[in-house]
Amino acid sequence: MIPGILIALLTFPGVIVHEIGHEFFCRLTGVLVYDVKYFRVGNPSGYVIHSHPKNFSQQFWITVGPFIVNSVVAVVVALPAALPYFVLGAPMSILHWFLLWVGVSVGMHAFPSSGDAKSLLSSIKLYRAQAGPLIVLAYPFAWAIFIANVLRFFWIDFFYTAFLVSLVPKGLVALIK
Amino acid sequence: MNEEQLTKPTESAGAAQSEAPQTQPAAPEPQAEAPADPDEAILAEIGAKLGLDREATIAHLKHRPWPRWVVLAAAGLAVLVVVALAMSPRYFAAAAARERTYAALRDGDIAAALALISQADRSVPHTRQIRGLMGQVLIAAGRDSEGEAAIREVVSKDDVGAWVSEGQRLEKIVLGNLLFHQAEQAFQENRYDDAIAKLQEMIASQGDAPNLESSIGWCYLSKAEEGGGPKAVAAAREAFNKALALDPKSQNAQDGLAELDKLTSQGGSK
Repeated sequence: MIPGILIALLTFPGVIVHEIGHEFFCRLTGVLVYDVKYFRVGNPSGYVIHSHPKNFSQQFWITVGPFIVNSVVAVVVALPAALPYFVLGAPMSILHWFLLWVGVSVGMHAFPSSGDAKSLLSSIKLYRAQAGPLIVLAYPFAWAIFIANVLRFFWIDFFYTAFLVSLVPKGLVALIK
Repeated sequence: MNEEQLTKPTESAGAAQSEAPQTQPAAPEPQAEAPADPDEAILAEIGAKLGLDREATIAHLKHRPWPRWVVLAAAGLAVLVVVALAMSPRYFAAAAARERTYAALRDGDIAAALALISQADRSVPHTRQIRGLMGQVLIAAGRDSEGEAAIREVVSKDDVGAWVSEGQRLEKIVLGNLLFHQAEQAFQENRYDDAIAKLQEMIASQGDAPNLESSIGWCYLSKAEEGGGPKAVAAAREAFNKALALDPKSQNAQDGLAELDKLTSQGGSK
């Protein structure tokens, strides 16, 4: 089994983008950010310390943030490399390999942590009354995060990334044909 | 602002934390009941360090710019992506042409398919997915030797990885069909050694199969009938036995062995 620290080192751009995702949505929803560690050799390999969300929506978006940001960044960054490689089987340049590495690294850190899911579930209890329609998404999303974290043992984050970076270019080509 | 100074006080005061995924310590959960002002102590501490009052501290935290290196890294990455995408239109064009080729093939318009895939091949030469499809279209257009050359080019590329293995299998099947067709033709023209070579190439490419071994057996049997001698008889027997080992019910192999026995009992190998 490959130690988590080694994976974090090999895919450190993903950790950085993950924390940027949390911070971005903190800033977007008006939650104060006290401290950010974008990457460090240790456990956790990155974190954002922020003020307590004042409503459910803030907690929801802070939790979901990295999933959205990492997924989008992974697809966009890997696209120029994934198109020739996965769609056409063409040889890749060093630039393509670099972008594919960054894209895959970012995609592999898309899933929020179990801690994030716990925060989201606690937030549902706390703000149930004023949670609004987002609560419909929150429960399945929180449980999906728990399951994904269990399935990390089976490299689900890698398979999710492979799905993103290989199928999206194929979908784009199907759209433009 | 000094990040190190902030870490301890914020955690001790119960600030929320969002962390990287593969780590153990869970983020502190919000308490069951929302505390009156859980962040006030932190704000006071940060404010004291910065020499700012509460409102100024909040304003400072709200409007704190992104770290310069984050901005530079994001800009650099964006430039690389744009540069790489600027190099990509030909890939998009080739991929789209390939999709339209499939559509033309589905419509039975071989000429259009050939024109489209040739255009894609010119845009991005020597890509395995384009060359493989081009080979199939050329064969469909009756240009077997050119098609075979194109397919051989991609089948021989074993360094392409698992992602395209499905396409590679398809191309091997097409190549196999072509080889079998050529073997049949050679057999009918009594060029048994050529036929055997084609069948053996199929086995090397696609793996062994009872019908291929039987076909080799029939080639050697025919060769034996035309004066191939005991070597041809032995080779025929070996091939039929191999076929029966792969499929003990192979009628083709059983018929071949029976025919071979008849030939040898008559002393018919010239």
